[in-house]
Amino acid sequence: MTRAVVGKELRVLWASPVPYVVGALLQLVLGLLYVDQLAARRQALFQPAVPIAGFLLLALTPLVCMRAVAEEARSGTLELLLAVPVAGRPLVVGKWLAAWITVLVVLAPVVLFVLLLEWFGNPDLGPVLSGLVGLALLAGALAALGVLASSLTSTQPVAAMTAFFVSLLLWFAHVRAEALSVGGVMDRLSISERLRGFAGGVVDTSDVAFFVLLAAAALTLAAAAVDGRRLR
Amino acid sequence: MRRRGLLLAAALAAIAVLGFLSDRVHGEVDLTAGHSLSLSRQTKDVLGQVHREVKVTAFLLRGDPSRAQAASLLARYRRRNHWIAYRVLDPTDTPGEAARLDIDPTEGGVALSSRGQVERAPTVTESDLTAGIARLLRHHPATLCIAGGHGEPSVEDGAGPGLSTLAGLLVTNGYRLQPLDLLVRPAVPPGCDGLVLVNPTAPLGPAQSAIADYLAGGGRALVLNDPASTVDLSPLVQLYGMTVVHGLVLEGDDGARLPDDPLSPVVHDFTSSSPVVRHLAPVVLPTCEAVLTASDPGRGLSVAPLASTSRLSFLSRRPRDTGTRFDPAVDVRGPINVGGAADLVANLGGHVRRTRVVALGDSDFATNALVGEGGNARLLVQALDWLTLQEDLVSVSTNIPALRPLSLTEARTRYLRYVTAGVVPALFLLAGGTVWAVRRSR
Repeated sequence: MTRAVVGKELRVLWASPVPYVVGALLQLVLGLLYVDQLAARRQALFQPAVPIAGFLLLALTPLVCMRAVAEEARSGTLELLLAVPVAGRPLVVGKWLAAWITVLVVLAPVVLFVLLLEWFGNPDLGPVLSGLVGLALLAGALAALGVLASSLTSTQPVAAMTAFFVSLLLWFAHVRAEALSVGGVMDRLSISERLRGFAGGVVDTSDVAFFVLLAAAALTLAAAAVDGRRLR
Repeated sequence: MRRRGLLLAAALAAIAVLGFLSDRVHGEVDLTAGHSLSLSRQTKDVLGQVHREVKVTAFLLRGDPSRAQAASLLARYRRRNHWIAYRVLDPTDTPGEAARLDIDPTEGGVALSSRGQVERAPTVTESDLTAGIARLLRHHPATLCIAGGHGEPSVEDGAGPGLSTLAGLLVTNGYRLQPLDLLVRPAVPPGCDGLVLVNPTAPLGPAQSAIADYLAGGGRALVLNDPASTVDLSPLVQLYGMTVVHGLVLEGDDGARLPDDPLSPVVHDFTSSSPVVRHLAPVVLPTCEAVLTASDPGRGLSVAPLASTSRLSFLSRRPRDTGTRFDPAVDVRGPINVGGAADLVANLGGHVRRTRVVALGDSDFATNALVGEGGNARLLVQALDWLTLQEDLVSVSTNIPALRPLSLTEARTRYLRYVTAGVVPALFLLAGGTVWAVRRSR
């Protein structure tokens, strides 16, 4: 069931202009900002690309996910799907997997940066690997948040905005947290802080677990929201 | 419906518990070459002793290239122990906070505070941070007595030959300084955790036996000799397996001296296992003499040579007569050992008494004019940390990441921009346009 949903979603997504425009925007902005960083630092570092790519993912992933459930709800096909005995979970997981794969494909050309670094310098490949792992995990978590937002509304722009703002809150969770005396908790919820270790070259199991559990929580809620529609 | 709600709540609670547990019990893999992002064992040991909040405030200009690395390092400390809280401030934005924490806003630095106690460190490096935290964990700072009265340079003298910069450095590193006039009162007070004796130029007289008594009673001393002085400090250090050999070290290796100056060796051979010289940058020792260490020092005494000049150096025993020429009859071929560290342990019926002495064949390197050169300041701080038994402060073994220069000319930068921000986005748009055209043609 999940595999069928993934296949159908990937076909629909890549037939739309969204992944191409998102890919072009992401690579354009990332390319400009990253090369600026390289020119300023004169070091063969992949590290600066990670937070830039992470923030761009935060802004662009909701565009890939916004139609996942919302479009089905708007066009009425969701009711058709729910009329047959299909649980919300495989449906949601299938849509999330398709969105995640799409975001990973859109992100994939960053490997070109590594080749260029190898050409002009001698980069440390450890942080490159951990940075790519971090970005992949971040993309998965953001895609899950996007699917969750999409399952809560039948309007795509609302879904995209909701996902973006929730992700933005999580990105900046650590900022000013100390002033509110909740620094410890909010630091742990900050996805930018979690990404920092990956960017530097350290893979911490707690950071991996954070992204995995964030995605799991979002998908659990999304499945519950879809099941809730069936009961209505 | 209610059952579904309960199941959902249970699933979310399980995820929250897993998240909490993964934060408490976690491991990490450092993928960097040389494990440059792993905290050292000493740092982990010190952090394991922190059970109260320690606030670290780093003052770094927003444009400082080391700012991101500093934040990353501080994040690793916090990750290791959640009692560590940190913030990175631009001193120009927060002059009031910098003043409150007694940090010079023009130079920056780090303030570490806990329960009203504040320690400062000059840089956001693992060695400085860990040493600062270790100092915070101590109940009282060590007192260093600075010997005076026999022509020694003064810690209040701000001129080139003075020691005011060293004094400031030691205070920054958590020491309390107590100047002693051993001419007026030839005795070392029992409150001295360490004695610093720098190049006396007049005979010590009764002060010599006072220092010897202090050391015999389990004292600690940093003894800096100098060829310019006629005072023989050998009697003080000979009991501890070291001998000062008078003369002048001349360095013949261009890579181990200041340019065209054979009298100023730059010592970078620290093959010793002593923590005094662990991970030390090259040290500049202008006009130094030799310090020999005993190979078989005797029971309870261990002596380690600290640093040597190159094989092309030699010790001129009569520099006034022979100049910079090697005289095989009297001179000593390199490498010349220029420092030693002695540790004498005596068991007094269940009570262990420990005497430590560090002797170096130069004193100029500690003066205001030269203490900032190379690893000079670090050598002095590490020596005193070791002497006063603050071993966890000594030379945290940071794994320094290798520099990875990028050969980036203007043309290559343009090429990078062209490929990454031009060709790749264009390919995405081309693919999208192709899909759109194919769909439209059907």
